[in-house]
Amino acid sequence: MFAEARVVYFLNQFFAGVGGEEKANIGPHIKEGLVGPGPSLQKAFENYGKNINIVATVYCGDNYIGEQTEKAVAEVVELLADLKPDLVVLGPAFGSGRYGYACMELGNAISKQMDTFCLTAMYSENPGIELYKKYQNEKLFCFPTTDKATGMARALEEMAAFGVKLLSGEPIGPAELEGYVGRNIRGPWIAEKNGAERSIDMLLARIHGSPFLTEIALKDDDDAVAPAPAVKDITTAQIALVTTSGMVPKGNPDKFRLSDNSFWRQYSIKQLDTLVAGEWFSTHGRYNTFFVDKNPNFAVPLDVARQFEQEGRFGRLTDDYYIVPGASSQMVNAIRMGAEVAADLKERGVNAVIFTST
Amino acid sequence: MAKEIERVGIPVALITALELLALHHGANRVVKGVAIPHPCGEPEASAEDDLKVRRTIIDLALEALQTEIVEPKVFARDFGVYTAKL
Repeated sequence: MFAEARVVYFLNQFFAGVGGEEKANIGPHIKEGLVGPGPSLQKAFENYGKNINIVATVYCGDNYIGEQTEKAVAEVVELLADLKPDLVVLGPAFGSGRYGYACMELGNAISKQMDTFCLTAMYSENPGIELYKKYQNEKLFCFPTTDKATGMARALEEMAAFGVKLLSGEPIGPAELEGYVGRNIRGPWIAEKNGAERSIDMLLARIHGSPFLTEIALKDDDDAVAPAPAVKDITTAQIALVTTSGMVPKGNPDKFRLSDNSFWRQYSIKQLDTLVAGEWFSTHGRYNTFFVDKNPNFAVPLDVARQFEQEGRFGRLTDDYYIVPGASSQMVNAIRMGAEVAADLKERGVNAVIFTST
Repeated sequence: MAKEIERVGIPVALITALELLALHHGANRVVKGVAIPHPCGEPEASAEDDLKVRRTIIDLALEALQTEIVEPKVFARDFGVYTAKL
């Protein structure tokens, strides 16, 4: 619990009452006290009986932030430093693209640089939402609003209620329960029913046409990579084996965990024609590893790859195989490691990859 | 992962039994494997037949790596008596 809390409120030039488009180029300024929707937000906080005060309003022109974001963000952060906020509220921006962009860029930067919670609100199709989902910032929360400012009262009410929760240090639940816009951050929580029961509930809901929520939403791939060019001359190509199967040497020297690993390794197969059971085993905790432990070539097909190499079916096999995590990895880690492995393959002059995934 | 490797211009043949999931996650050259816990082999087969299955899969992977594609594609092949399990 907190005795009192300092809130700084950020608005654009329009909601701060400074002006419209003709003022959209003004830089950041501070106004003491309450401006624009400020009094309503202050009142909403007071409904919770806590000593929460909006100590200042910072405003800035939409175009000023849009056209020189880095500079504008640095200036706003500098203004905020002296104000020592416990929470920064930005917007709501509703359907306004530039305002939404400003709230999100500022919210992301302020929360990171000042280690302060930031809270904003906007319409689902505001381009700021895309940034929000990209940043996946655990200290930045956004609430959904209407397209037009008619939803002001409700947005302020929701932000105030959630702001009190943030300031109190209460644990924050998933987006579906708390009401903020989700940004695909996965975290542990305690469920009342076990996984089998929840999946049956979900299946029944689906059969009956009732609403249900998936626990692992698959993201649509909005970052498609075009197919790499085919190998021109396979007889000279260097091919690497990469796997997510969890296959490691006996003793698991690098201590891969059963899931959620955040590093990759390569192990030498230079002198080997096959992976012998007992010498290699799988550390993967999310599938039945019985079969690959009995025959590791089911996961890392070294025996056949070596045969093909000796038969001249391709140039040569890379001296190491790569193990990359596949069990419940965080997407952000997976992308980073994918890029690291890709750079390493490139450096070794690898021409193609055979990638096995369990 | 496979996607990040293709991003730098290295073709990847991704062998998996979960071909639709692989496509969903942006893999381009997907080779249909035998089963989730043993993508490159058939534990119920004799050692000789299992080797044939694995050779078929790696052969298909090499074919995938040499095939110019403009959009994601699944490469699948008959594994003889074990095809029924696919």
